[in-house]
Amino acid sequence: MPIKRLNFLHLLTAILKPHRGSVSLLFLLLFGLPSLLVGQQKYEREFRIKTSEVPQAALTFVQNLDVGATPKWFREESLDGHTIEAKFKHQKQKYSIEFLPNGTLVDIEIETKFKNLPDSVQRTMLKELSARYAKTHFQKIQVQYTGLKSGAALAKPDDIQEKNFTQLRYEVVLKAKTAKGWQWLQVTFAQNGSFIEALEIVTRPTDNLEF
Amino acid sequence: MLRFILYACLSISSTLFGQTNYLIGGLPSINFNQSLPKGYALNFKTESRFAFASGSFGEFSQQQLRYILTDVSATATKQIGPTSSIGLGYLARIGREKIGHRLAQQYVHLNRIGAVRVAQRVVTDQTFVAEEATTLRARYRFTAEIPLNGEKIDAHEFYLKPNAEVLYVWQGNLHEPQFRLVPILGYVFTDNNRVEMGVDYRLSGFSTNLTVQTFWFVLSWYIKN
Repeated sequence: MPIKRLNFLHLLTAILKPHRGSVSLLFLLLFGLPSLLVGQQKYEREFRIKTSEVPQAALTFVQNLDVGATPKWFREESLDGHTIEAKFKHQKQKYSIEFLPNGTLVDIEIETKFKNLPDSVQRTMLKELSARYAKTHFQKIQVQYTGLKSGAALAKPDDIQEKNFTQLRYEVVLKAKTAKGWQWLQVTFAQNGSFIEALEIVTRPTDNLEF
Repeated sequence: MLRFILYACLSISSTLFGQTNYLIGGLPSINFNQSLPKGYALNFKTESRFAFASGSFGEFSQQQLRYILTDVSATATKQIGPTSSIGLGYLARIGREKIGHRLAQQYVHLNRIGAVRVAQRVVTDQTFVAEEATTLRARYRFTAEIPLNGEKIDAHEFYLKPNAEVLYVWQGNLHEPQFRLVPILGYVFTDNNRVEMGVDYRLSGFSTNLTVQTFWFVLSWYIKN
């Protein structure tokens, strides 16, 4: 459920209301007007949670996986609801396991490098991308496993393999040169590297890093 | 507590650099950014300077709030690659007696290392003030933006943004390096509306044997449309 937030402009106006002098007017012009130009943002947030807040089924799933490292737990909130995510590193690879609030597994994602993908997948991906975009610059590639097969037992991270899941896809975060200029995209590819969909990522402004 | 921190900073600085002058002040600023098609963007910034205290270490200091100047600037940037942009800017430095004009050219490279966003900025600028020699500067700044909650900075979250900058300044026969260290704490209201506060520590005056250390208390507001 979205959390009601204080509108900064309302707060500012309330503070300034009793003061009708020129100083207040100047202050309002300097600070108030720019905030009118700021649009509504989608409510989406990820934050750390304690192990005690993790659904027991999710906790048991990760404990059974014997990941070695202590996983970090996150709660990802959006207008659609929330999910629970465990993140950890195993043999220098980043793992992310996502669960529904009741602890049901959603998917497992493992970060990898482009060169580690099968040659045929690499070729197909590049062909698909070059057909759509003038240039691309890869940021992150994850192998995504969905639909744990019944009877499949995951006793260690190395058991996270294609044979134990009903679906394998690749999720790639990249920057692509489009007609609108450079855009951050999340592109999903099928197991053979064929294009499924591309979602535009709304990036955070970089003005505070540039100026 | 604040007095103690200031006293500690000044004492350490005095021990390290010997004879030095110092200035403690405030640096409030507002940044407004407008995205444009085809990777272009505009940045408008206004930043004022106020002095709270100044003097030499170990001597009587002048403690009086005084207005120094206001900078008003506009910069146009163009994204030239997936992680880099170039920019051209103009700044008017409005002092109590004079107005200076500065032209700036910048290159910014942005990257991500895990959860940390990293920016490297190279700037050259030329400042023109009537009856003064033109000031030329070359600057390199390294900035990291570190989320304090989770792997990315979301609305209603704090973050750290330390940066370090090295400058080289030429003005007439005078030329010297300058250094800046700026530990910043930021807070995000929405993705396009954030505030940052911290201390902008500047070290200069090497060419005159009288080192100047400046402690600006920074309060910046970033808005993007």
